[in-house]
Amino acid sequence: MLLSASVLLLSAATPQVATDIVPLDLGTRPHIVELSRDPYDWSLQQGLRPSEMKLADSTANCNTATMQTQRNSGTDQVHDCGFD
Amino acid sequence: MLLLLSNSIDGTADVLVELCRERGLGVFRFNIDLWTHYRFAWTAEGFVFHDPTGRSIASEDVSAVLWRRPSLRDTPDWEGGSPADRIATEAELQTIVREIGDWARARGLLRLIEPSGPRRVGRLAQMRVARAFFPTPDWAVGWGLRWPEGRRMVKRLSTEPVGEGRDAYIFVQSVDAERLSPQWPWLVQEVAVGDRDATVLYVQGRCFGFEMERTRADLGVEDWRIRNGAHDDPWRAWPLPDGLADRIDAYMKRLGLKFGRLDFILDGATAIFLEVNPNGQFGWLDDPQDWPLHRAVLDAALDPSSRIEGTQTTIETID
Repeated sequence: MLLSASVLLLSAATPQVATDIVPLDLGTRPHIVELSRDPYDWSLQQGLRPSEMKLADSTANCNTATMQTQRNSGTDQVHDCGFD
Repeated sequence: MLLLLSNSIDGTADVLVELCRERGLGVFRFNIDLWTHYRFAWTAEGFVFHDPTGRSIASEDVSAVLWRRPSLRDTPDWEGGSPADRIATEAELQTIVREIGDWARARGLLRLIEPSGPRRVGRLAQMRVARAFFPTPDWAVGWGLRWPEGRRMVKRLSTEPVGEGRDAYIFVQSVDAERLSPQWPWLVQEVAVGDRDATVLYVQGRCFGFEMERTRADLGVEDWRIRNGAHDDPWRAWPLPDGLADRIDAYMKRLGLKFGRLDFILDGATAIFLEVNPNGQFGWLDDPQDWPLHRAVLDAALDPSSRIEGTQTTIETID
């Protein structure tokens, strides 16, 4: 059980030590999943998914969706972890 | 005609467009990351979009607007433009789309998903309100203090990436709380007792429950969301325990939300609330044979009673 806010603040903020955890220590780079090299289908108003690709590939939480596109002559890596 | 505000890699929008076609419903999809391919004009009389095929939608043709994922943050870079052009342009584009949402809301046409929901109903508000409806783990936020000893969960209040390249994420994870640096703000939560993850898609009063077939121990994870390829972990339909759907409905009404995906951890038959995502994804849970979840979302989006009024607020009880 966590203590009340006022009790928590009774504990002195001891100086940071080398073994303390800072936010970046907890960061993880998601694995990259290549989603599609196909262009958007304007006539269908749909992205083109190769037959082996499931909808889940672009909607499961915290996959990293990578679109290999020709935009700006480069490869764009698109994360969807921020969505959920 | 349904106006779908999204991006070109939104698989759920793909399915919704397909279902509209199946029903013979008019739909126009604006993908914000492909904005250079569209032509757009808006005056005091109204707006018009054209897409590259010659398809168009005028404001007077719009019968409903669904806010899916019209974000440039998590989509491929758009064609052309220097980094300076992007800085100058992207905020303007996001604002135009937000104004389309406001325009629709003012006419009762914005449906089901509240664009500002994720910001309005933050982690702390949803946990405070949840205490009246579900078992919830204790939590605290703070800095300038040394956390009491013990294993606890650390969560993020926001979904912003971290690191110089902004390419890393801080997933929910357990830490020795006393080692958290006092210099930083932390959201700390007691470790919820439970072994199996479950999630409920809420669509304007309807609840669709799912649970993971494997326990967290089987998977060797503290939180399934950290798993890449999480969709390969089997999920199955979860018949909600008696009374839970009613509590979820009451909870979502208290938050002023008509849509969301709620995460729980199951301790036997007890569902412990973890969080709600007001624009949560659900595509990987759906049955691709018939798309019942997508159909429910489309039905609700077309139903005028799902309109987002703009007056939604979170109602908290006094403890």
